[in-house]
Amino acid sequence: MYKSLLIFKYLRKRRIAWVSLIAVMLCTAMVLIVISVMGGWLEMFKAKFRGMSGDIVVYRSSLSGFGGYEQMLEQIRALPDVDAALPLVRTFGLINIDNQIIEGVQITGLDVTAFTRPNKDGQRFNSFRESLWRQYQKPVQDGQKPPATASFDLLPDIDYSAYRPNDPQAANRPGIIVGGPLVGMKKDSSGHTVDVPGLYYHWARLEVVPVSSDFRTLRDVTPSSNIYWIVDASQTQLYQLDANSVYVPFEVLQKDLQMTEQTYTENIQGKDVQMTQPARCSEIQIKIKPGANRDKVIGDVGKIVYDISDKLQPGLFPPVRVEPWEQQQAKFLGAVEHEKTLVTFLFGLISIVAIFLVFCILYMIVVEKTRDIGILKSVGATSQGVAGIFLGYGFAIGVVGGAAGLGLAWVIVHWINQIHDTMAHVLGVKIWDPETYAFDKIPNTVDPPTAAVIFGVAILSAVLGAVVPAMRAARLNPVEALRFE
Amino acid sequence: MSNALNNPIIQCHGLTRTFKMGDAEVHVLKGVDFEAAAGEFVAIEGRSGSGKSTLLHLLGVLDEPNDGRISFDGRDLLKLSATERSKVRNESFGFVFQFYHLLPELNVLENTLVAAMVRYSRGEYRKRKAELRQQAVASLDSLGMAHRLHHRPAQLSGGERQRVAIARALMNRPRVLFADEPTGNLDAETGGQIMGVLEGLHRQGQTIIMVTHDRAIAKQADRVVVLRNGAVEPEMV
Repeated sequence: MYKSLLIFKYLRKRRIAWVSLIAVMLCTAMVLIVISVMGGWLEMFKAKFRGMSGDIVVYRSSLSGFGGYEQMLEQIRALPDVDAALPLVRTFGLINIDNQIIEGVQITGLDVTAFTRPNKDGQRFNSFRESLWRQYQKPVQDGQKPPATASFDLLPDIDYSAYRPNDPQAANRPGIIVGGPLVGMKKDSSGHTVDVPGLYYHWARLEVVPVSSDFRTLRDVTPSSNIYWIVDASQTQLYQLDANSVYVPFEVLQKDLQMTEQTYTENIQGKDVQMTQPARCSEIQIKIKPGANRDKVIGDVGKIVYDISDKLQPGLFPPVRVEPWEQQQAKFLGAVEHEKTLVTFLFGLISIVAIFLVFCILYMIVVEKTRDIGILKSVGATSQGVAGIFLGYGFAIGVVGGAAGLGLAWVIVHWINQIHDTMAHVLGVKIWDPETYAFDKIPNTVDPPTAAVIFGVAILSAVLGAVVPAMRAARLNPVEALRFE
Repeated sequence: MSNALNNPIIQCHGLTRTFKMGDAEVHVLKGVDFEAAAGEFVAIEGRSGSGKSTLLHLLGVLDEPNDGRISFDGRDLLKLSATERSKVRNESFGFVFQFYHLLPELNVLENTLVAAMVRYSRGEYRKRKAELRQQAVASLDSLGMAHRLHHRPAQLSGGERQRVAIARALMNRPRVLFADEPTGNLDAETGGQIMGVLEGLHRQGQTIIMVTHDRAIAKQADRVVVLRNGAVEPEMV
């Protein structure tokens, strides 16, 4: 009883202890703010990448892609736990927009209608639809209903021939969805997207290099080009992705890359033999049914993929892989994850200062309270009891400082965007620029389990800081302590 | 050598205590024999440096001798563990010091109750809280301190502080009350009042062992043991 009474009294009346309490509070708040913002950033990244992918990805680390995908798709779609499976073609190329913008881009060929069509439960393959400015974001912003599925269809009210008078095929060109930043689509200071006037009157020429499995050098291949009309802009909020991505119809890109089924003649032992190279794709994205065991589906898909691939191209290197979506994005997510770990570690190191401060201040208090320790021992307090006072004191500093730190962190994280805006307004300092950063807003949620762990560590640190002073107090000889001046 | 008592409550035999001061050794007690009977008021008198406070500390197991034996109620105190000695200090002994030694953060009532708080577990203390509080208030009242229950030591005079120290020492109804120069820091009048309090306690049967350098104060005890150069001189009263 005397321990808690003295801890309470010392905590209230020894103001020097407030310094260590403030140190614990600031360290707790600092670590929690960093983890919350970095963790929130990572979660947003994950969610965005997740939203742009299926649950499972079948791919091959080669621009030449892999054959037999139609057969694979047929068998994968027949698996009971698979909701949908869609092929993609990915490559790199040059884009020339109206002879004004020329950039190297990552090109994805996809069946955008299939990707954005709801299934019988109203679920779409992923959230690619939500990234489309004209076909989703703008109607939503204007309070209108967006189309149920997205498409590469040309806009009906544009006379495309007028914008390419010398092109007899102008009105029959396919559509292209470009990454917003590529055409100068930006967010204003409040994070709202600013439309690009006249965007849909612009054509884009894509130059790609067909790469087959026997590709040796660029000199042996002829680049193929195609003209598209810009029909939409993609704003996934992943700036790095949007800044260099374009999307075109699957069949068009597959054809331009000569990844459709090819027949050719090969002279074998003096005889011309008609050979067929199967159609190829770069990826198969698979969406599994809710509640399905993903690892089991990966195993089932793997079997299908390896069987077919092995029959078509035995010993294919690199092989076709079947992986969960996050593994395929590991290099992006891993970088952010490592950054979070590193920053947390660095701030954790700074927090050692709190332990040291608790140690110094409690040591000072023990010295200052030497006579009190003697008094307590004279009335029968044991050495363990005296140690308990100072360990409890450290614990109380940890609890109060940690709780105050959690509160402070919660307030700062919760209002971080407002604080940031005020800083920008008053001081002209803008750290998080929505025009540049992947996300409009700084992540502002505190994860309760993380907060609980940090709170626990804060208490543990304060108790650790109190161990040596408590031991010193316990070892004091009562008579020497009573005579201390 | 002190009187041989029939039924001593506390006694020591051949106590020696040596302190190291750098390379030198200071022999403060050189084989002291002492005993006090239950209900006796004994004064240990001696000049400054004679070892009287050291003897009191050893008898109260606040310190450990280099040699000798201390027994309380027939038990050899030096054979007890540190925790058991703490228990003896808490339950059977009470201390009053020259400089009062009150805890500055606690008020008068809390200072008085601290010995009871040490004695009982949290649960037991909560159960007995009202009774203990009543006892502490009654004790403070009998010492004329009832009007100062919620004052802190810094707000009290020397005499008042010493009364609180006495109330704290008596809280667990000790078998032996040790008083180390209880009037040493007080003016003559206040010192006289404190001695009056001790005499009153003695009349109620309290065993008191008091250390003083003041012969006049010592004479108020039943018996005076004089310490000189670390050894007991023949009885004077």
